[in-house]
Amino acid sequence: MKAVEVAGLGRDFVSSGHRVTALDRVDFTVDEGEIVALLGENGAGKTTLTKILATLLLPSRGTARVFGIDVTARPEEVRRRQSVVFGGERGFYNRLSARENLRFFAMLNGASPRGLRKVVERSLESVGLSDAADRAVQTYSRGMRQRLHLAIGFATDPSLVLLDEPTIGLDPVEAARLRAQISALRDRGVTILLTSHQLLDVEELADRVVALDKGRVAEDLRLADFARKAGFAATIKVSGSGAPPGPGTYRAISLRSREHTEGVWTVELAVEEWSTTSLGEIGALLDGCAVTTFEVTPARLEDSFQRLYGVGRP
Amino acid sequence: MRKGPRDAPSEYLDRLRTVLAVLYESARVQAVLTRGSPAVVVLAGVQPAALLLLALPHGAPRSDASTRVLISVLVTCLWGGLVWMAGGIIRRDIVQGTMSRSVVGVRDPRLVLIGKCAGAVTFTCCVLAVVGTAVSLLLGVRPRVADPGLLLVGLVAVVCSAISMGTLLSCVFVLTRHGVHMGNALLYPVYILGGTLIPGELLPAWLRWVALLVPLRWAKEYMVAAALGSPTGAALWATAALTAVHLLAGLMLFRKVVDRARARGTLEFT
Repeated sequence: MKAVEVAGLGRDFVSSGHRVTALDRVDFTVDEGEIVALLGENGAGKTTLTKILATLLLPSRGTARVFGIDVTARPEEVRRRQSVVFGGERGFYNRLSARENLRFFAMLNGASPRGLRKVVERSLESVGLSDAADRAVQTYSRGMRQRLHLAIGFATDPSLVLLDEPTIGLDPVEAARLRAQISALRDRGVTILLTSHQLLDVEELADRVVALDKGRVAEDLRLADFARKAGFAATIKVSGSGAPPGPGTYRAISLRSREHTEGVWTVELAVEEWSTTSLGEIGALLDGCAVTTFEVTPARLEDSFQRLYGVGRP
Repeated sequence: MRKGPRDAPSEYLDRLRTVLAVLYESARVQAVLTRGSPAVVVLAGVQPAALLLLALPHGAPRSDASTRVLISVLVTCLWGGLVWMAGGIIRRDIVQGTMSRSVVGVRDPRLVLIGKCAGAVTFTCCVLAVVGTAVSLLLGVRPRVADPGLLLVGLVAVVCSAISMGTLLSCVFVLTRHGVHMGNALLYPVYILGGTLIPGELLPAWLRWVALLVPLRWAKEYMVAAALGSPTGAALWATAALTAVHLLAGLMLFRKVVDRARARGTLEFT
């Protein structure tokens, strides 16, 4: 059974008398145990889609099912199977301690009243907040709040987790720790639908990418396939001294930039695909040159993202 | 697998236990939040103390009048606390982003609302009881308690009717764009017209109907009568009926609040 099935989903809003379509004919599925990242620019429809799946928003048309259950017709049953991890500064009683917040919201999320204490302690421990558990949330840093959001979201062992911008505002250490926690969920077979602008999160966690553009699905690909959307496999930066490489005509590589100052030259190449042809052309280009550095940077998700959304184009 | 006859009662017991746990946890959270609110100091502390100092009959340490005044003032101030503390529960939850958690949670959000109203009302009642006791001791007034058991029934009636009114107000205030102004506008007219402070007989006949619709008024009538040893079942029945009507209306409106928020997309999770 699919964890998430979305078919023909659409949502319109009325703003100042005008109808604005936030989502239009969105179709995609998520398999059980899969981590799927929803990508897109601001306003692409990611949050609207997540809100519909979270049962916080009704769709204008189409269907969305979670483990076969329609989110519009049977929202109560959907809520039993999934958990929404909130993000940002809101979503807590700031005057209460983390322990009190966690106790209350874990119970609302379905934790049994009998085992509540154990669930709270285990969840605090899992996000490293045990020592600060009795402090009021209003004294918490952004990272601590984010960890508390996760603790609440994961407390009841949901089958599906909806994660919206989990690492936003976190320092690199906190973000890495959080990614490790999400990875641990994957190991337990939890299905995760992740929304993030942090492409590092997506690269490290996602199995598949669903890219939204203007409310529609622009791409729905495995992560490796999405990375190929960059249009090149890698960039190579070569520096050397003496005579620079001469211009030439190549099919599998392209010259992106060329500089030559005070006897030192630098060229940047894009390799469309790794092959004997591209390697041969690189060899031919640099033949006879005194190369001092040779740096290869594989194409990253960010390159695909920029190409897909036309970043840098006029 | 079909459940055997022995399983059914234990399942009901489990459900009941869960409902009570949700009510208790919600009440506990709201009581702690109410404790930190400056409004509670003014509405449940300063205001009743000032009114009691002015209104309690001096030189009549144990009289029917002092008992009547004491209960009337405290119940009237409970109304003020209700408007601010319970009436603003949903609005504050929306602003804090905690309403969304309640809606996407597994537990019935209506139970959470009732529990939170109960927490606000119970905490306000405790503060009012402390203030009432302190002022009575200060003035040397000892209220009459003819039957403590019936007085306790009256107190429960007051608390339940206040919870039902708080549930209703909380939804009404969030369904209108002018909820805060509506709260302000309701506060003093109900002091005057609600029948808790000023006896209905003193009002013009065409205005007396307002007090008839306020469950707190009937609960106060019963509590005063219980304290003085002449309780009537009619007041208690009226309290129960109006409490049920207010609670049902509140829960229906709460459904409308949630449905409207889901239709318009006004609930956020960030």
